Amino acid sequence: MIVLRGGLVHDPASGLNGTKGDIWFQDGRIIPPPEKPEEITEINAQGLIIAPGAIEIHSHIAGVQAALSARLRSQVFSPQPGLMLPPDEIASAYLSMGYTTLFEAAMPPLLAARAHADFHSMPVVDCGAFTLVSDQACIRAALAHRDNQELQQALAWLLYKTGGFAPKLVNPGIGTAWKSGLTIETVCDPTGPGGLTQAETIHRLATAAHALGLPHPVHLHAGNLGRPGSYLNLIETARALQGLPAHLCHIQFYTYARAETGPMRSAAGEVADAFAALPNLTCDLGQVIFGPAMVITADLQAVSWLQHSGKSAHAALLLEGEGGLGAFPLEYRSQDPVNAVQWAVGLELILRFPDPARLFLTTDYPNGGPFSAYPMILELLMDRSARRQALQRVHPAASTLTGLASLDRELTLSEVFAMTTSGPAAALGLADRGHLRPGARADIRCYRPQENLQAMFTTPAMVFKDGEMVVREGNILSSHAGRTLLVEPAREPAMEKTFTAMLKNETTVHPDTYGGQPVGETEVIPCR
Amino acid sequence: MVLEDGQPAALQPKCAAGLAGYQGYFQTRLTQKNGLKLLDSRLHQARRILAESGSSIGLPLVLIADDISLADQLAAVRLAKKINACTDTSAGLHAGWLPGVIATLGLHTCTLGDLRQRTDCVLLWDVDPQTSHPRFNSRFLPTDPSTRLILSNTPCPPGRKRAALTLPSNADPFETLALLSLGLDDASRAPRAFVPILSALHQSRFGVLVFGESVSRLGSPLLSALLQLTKRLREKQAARWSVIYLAPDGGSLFSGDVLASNCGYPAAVRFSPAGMEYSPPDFAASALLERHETSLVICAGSPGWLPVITRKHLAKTACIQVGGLARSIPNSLHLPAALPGVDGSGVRLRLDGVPIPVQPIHASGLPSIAELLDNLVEGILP
Repeated sequence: MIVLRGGLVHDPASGLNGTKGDIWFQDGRIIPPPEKPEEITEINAQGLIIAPGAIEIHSHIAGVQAALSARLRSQVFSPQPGLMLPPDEIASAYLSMGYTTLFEAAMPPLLAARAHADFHSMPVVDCGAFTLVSDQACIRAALAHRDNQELQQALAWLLYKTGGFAPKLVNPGIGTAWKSGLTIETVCDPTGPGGLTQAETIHRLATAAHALGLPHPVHLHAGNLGRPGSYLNLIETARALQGLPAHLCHIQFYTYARAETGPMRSAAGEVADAFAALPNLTCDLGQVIFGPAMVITADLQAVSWLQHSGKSAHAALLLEGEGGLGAFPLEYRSQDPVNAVQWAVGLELILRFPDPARLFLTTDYPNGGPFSAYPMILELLMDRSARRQALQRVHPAASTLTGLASLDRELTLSEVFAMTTSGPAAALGLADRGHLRPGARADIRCYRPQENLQAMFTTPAMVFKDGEMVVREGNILSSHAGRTLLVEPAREPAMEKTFTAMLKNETTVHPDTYGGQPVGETEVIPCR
Repeated sequence: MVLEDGQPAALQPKCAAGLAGYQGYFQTRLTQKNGLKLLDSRLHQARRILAESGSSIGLPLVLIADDISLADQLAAVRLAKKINACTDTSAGLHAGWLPGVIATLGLHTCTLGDLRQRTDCVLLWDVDPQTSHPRFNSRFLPTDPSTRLILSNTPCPPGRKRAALTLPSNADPFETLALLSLGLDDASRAPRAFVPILSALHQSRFGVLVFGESVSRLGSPLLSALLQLTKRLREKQAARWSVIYLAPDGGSLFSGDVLASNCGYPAAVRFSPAGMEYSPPDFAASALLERHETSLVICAGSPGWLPVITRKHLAKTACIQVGGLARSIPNSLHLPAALPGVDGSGVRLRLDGVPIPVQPIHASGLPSIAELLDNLVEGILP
């Protein structure tokens, strides 16, 4: 039995905002203060800020695409610090910042085994992956048949075959369309299977995921990423869900409007207003960080468009029976007007957003830059003078084409913890994470309060995972592999024969060896 | 008989011979009982060498072969980090400059299923899937000849029906490629023999260039020229051209034959690497060994892919070889290990990068390469 004594507890889910108290835990779980405590290990947390372990909801941390881009970065370009690390270093870097649960943002079914091998080499942290489903052959066939039951079963079967946690939709239909020489410009384009529009495709998949009772709904990457005017498509995509729950990822990359002068202007106000009226949705940010980055995406149209804009070398892998993957390096420059607007839009969006428990901090690593920049972003969000100083150092477009300079809001600690703990936990359906109530996993981070917020968030004094102290003053104390988080929606064995036959026809891989399964310990997160 | 990925199947004659050789190897040199004893003693020796190398000058180097499993490759990287070693997987064609060249030119690679599903034109260059990859031959051949055209730069042997169109076989390859490029701009300037080929290329929307290892042996300029042609087709025709590299049978390891059978590749497809590569190119094995900058080499798997000159340098350096064939590096300390798909389970990557879980078909009792490497890591003081 361990007690963290005398800390300032921040637990947004319990309404605790710096309340002085003790946290008790035993066998990896938080327990109520015992009436007759026995064999207590007491840890002095006097004056420390105590919060639940942070949860990363969208990051490209494992799998073939990460290896592909690492190779591209190391062989075609110079290696860059903090970018394209091997999986164990990624996990260690997250852990040392207080992150205890990570989610891989896009796992292609054909290459799922590679992602699971990477998870197994990650120390301590629990991992899960979102399976790319929207261009997979069985899913497309079910969509074309307009058979909701078949679609549900195809989703359940695909999550089972790949060891996935939730369905990932990437500009739905773009993989197949792009391979056929087509593009998708709006959600009304009839490029889906069976003549479905993209909006209908999204709605059907979200309906199927909801009917399965998955803990995390569809994880959706909208179309027209990175283009001026893309905010309209983002809002149309959000409305296409018709009130169904969903998570929209890296929305900063869509919060751009066309400008009369200049490359584009911020649409943070329009997006924040639209999302205020859509409580069924959660989002993550995709903040841009100045410096080198690497685009990794399954949105082949975006790869093609962005690569042509930047003229950089890129790697692309087309995958049978589904879409494909692309990767190319880029650099965000503080004196580039477009990049400056992107940087400011991210900060503006989060400061304007109605509810910090529905918009989570990410850089869409490595697309927006390294996740190690989170402490720097938090400082800018919590300290308006630091933000204004930073604005002075970037291209004036960040001030003239966005509303960031006019915003006085400073996020509180409670809001910061809501968007990194209780918010993502609720969005992911992780009932025993993201809070410090009895029964929760004892995933805890402790900070030493200091004026330098960036330094504070960079190096927690202590991090606990399942009640074990795994980090102390930035040093990692444990190396055992964490768990892989899975779901087990109800499946009908009779339908599996259909999918197996389809797979056999569509791919050169035997159905028995298709996908991938976790290598080590797993935890099944129950469906609703 | 239909052979499937990852599914043990009746052994082909060539593969049965391979398995017999593999079993014979352990029965004559390292029987299960004596072999494991010997392995223990060698493991002890290896730990001592590693401990002693800590005080010596020079960079340790970890070589990662391209025919070992994902777990083995990840374990090799763990060991490299523990001893602050350089890693190198870049000497092989797959792992080396090829992805870089393809990326620099903005080309796409694709998986084998794409050939069957949506390709309307296949350009075979110095590769004959009918003989080197019979399992995949059906992917190239169209069920309806009007839907897919096969172009080839090599003449079809008598009695075989493969390419619908064949490029002039006795011409200089650079000249052929130059004439094709010229013809793409202006068909009237190309030789008459090229006209049907150019017409096919012009009409193609979803083409795939398939090339073999011999192209790389001729040197990178030819491959670059071939890839440039593909790039021109993509840009000029607005077509979705991509490339596949079909390596021939690795052949260096008889267990490869067994694995080939186990995984359903009768004439063998070499398995590609996992893509682990974190050292800058300046620290490639060939450069480090040539400059005598490395004091200890740990090789995970057989270094069959290394150039001869590099292997000569390697023979003069202290070396621990974990897994792979014994004596493939002279004077090395060899720790025999199980191979996924032969006497161990695991995940190996197909030539187009698709991971294939494999099961053992033979019980040798040997630990995997990953287990041995992790054992070495544990023996190193923090």
